[in-house]
Amino acid sequence: MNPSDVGSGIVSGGESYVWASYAFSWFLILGYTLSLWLRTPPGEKK
Amino acid sequence: MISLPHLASLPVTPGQLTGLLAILTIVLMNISRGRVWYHLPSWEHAFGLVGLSLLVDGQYLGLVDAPREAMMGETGRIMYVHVPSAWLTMVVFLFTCIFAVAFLLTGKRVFDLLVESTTEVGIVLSILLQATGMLFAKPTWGVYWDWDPRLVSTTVMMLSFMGVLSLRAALDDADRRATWTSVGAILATTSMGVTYMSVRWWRSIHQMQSSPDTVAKPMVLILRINAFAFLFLSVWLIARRWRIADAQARMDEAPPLPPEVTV
Repeated sequence: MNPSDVGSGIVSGGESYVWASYAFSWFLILGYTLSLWLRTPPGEKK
Repeated sequence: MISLPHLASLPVTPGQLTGLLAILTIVLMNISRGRVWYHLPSWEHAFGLVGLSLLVDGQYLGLVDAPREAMMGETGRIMYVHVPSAWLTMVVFLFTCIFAVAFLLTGKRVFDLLVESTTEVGIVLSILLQATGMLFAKPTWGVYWDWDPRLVSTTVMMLSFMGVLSLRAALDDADRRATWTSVGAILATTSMGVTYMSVRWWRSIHQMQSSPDTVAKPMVLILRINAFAFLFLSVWLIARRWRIADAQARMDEAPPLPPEVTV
């Protein structure tokens, strides 16, 4: 895609993409935190 | 975008409330187990708590308080997740390279474990960067993905660091594993430079790097809050990942158990 192929004007709508981005950031951070917790040996869980 | 009360009108911000609740939960858990002082969580949890509080505030501000972006409308709010994740991906991978060089110069195990930890956390951040980038691209460019220099170089960077972890997992000998991981990490870091410069070197549909001078002041503040949230959370995640790596290394170095004596 060339820069000229991108349309001009103001983007309208797109709220669902905003929600998806924020939700995914929480999903990923919490999911990775959970994976670290599960992988931590019992003696190191403090 | 959504009708929540503005942050300025609240007695405490959502982030402060989250932080207070988290501290209260930890203290109550300790008291319930009869251990208040000497078993309070490790130092890195302070980074996690501050990061969590800043993230709640930063995302609230991004969703509710931030002004509509002039050209991208509501979609511009994705910027408050996408841009900080890009910054922190670069920062964390830069530290991977620093730790790799430090290991090759000193041979100290702590640097090797930090290379492993920062690589993994950097990959998680780069996955967030890619995902939010695709969600940003669809409403603004009309496509989730394009073979654009910035998008391709970012993907190559992520795959390069994934390759470093794969290489690490494939080697059994601890010394060779540490050396080759560091060499691989330094090589992978070159892709980071290409990613950063890609919008200047080639014709890209991705915009060039912004600076505080080119972004409206209310937006800069929210970007900084989210960036610090990711920074504190990254320190916390790296520290937690380092503890796992350290425990694994100690287990690998432990002498084998003596054979069972039967009478």
